[in-house]
Amino acid sequence: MIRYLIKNNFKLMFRNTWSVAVMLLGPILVIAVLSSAFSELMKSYEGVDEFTVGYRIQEADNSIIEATKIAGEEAGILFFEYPEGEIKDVMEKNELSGFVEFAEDKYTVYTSADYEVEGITLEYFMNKVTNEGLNASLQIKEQAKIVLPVEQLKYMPAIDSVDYYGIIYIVYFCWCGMICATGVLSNEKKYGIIRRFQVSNISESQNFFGKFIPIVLTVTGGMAIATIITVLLYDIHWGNPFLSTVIVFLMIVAGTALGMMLYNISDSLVITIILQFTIVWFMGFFGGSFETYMFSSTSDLLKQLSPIYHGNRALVELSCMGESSYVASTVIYSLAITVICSIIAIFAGYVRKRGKA
Amino acid sequence: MNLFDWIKHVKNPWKQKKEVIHKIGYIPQELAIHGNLKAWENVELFTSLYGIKGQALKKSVDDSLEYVGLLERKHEFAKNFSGGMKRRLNIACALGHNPELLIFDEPTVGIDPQSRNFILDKIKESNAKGATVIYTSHYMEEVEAICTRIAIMDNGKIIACGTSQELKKLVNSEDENITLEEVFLTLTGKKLRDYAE
Repeated sequence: MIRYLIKNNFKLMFRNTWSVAVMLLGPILVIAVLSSAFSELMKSYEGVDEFTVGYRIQEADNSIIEATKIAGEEAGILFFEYPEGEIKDVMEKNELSGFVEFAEDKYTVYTSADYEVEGITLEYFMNKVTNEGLNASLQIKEQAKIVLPVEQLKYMPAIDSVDYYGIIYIVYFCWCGMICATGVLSNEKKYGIIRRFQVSNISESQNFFGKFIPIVLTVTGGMAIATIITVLLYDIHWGNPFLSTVIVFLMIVAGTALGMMLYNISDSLVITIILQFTIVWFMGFFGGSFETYMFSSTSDLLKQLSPIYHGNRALVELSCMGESSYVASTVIYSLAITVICSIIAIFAGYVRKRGKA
Repeated sequence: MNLFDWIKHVKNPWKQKKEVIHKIGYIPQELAIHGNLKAWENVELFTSLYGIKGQALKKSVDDSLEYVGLLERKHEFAKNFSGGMKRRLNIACALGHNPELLIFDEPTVGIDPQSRNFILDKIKESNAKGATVIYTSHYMEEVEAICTRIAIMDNGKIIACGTSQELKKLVNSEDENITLEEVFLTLTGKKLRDYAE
């Protein structure tokens, strides 16, 4: 019986032209606006050539500084020592893009407003070098020397704003799939169709999947069309097509499960839409949907908690580097959300049905 | 029923529940149909909820639509139907699984006299074919015309039950031409009912 429920709910969703239009035009318009708005920032970051940085040693291991200099050369950052003088004056006098002061157990990065992009790049570079150096120093006893995996530094995502926002807003709209279900759900409530379901032989899990599957199919279809249109219009480069498709699909499934759970708990379409959009907005805020996650200064912990961050990072890295260590975490995160939210949704629907019966 | 039959029934209450549900056809007061589905798609959707599929489902859909006089319009969207046609479609959606018990909840509210007359005829026809019909209405003349037994409810409780003649006798009226509506008002009083939904 669920086949006919899926088929007819699918028809209802596709015939709701308003929601289909939002799902299709939404990403296309937002991508155009945001990629244009941030194009200068991301272009200057991408187009930066080699730049020079000063450094000063207070009390630090010389081997770490040497390793940093070698790694810097690989990444296009040239380090010159300036042992004396006020740092601000030294930077202005020598037109330095940044300055690093090495102490025994810390370093301080000085940046200039005139070289904003170089400053961010230097911060990212130092963070990376420190992490790699720390990992390497743990192996010192065995290897007797610091081995910096310099090639890791090439992993700095260099992506232009069109590709970035072209990918990120497909992900964002994947999480807003409940828009597609508004026509069906509001009709069910308005015309007492739920009552018909209550007096039929349909179980709560069948009722859940009867809506869940068509929503997933509709959003997948809508996102596929939106992706093709944006690729043709804006020349967006997606990375590994297979992995990218799997990630986007899993996030659609997770977003739908989240929406269905909110709906079955709240029993109100308005509350569901408000709650889901709020949750997705926060996940997107920490996940790089508005401010690029590379440049955002939000808490790393909150970033890691946001499923959108994992998805965004996986897809962006797949696009500009061809691989990403975030693919696995995205898959696990999405599957966990899907399973947990689906179980809660079915249970909430069951309790609600019994309460109303 | 022997012991074995009894255990079989007790062991599978879910199956029993399904069997009972399958025998009931519920026609809600609201037009519980999807405007963005065609007439046949609406009947297919609600009939399939009772486990009917394939060719049997197609036949049920056509039979139900023919029964309510909408077979010719089966490919039209429900949202384009008149009020009376929507009411008839609402009924068709509950008939596809051939229920033995039909529960009508005010099926003639807000429709034209022709559609109302058609629906009442069909209810009588269903009853004549063997279906038991529970018909809820505030229109006493309808009730009197089609019901063999009438229960008058007030505040959610049955306050009187019987045939039309038995109910008329209940109010001890000397007027032989007393209507069922007058009986109803005598039994329930004339105070306005302001119930919330």
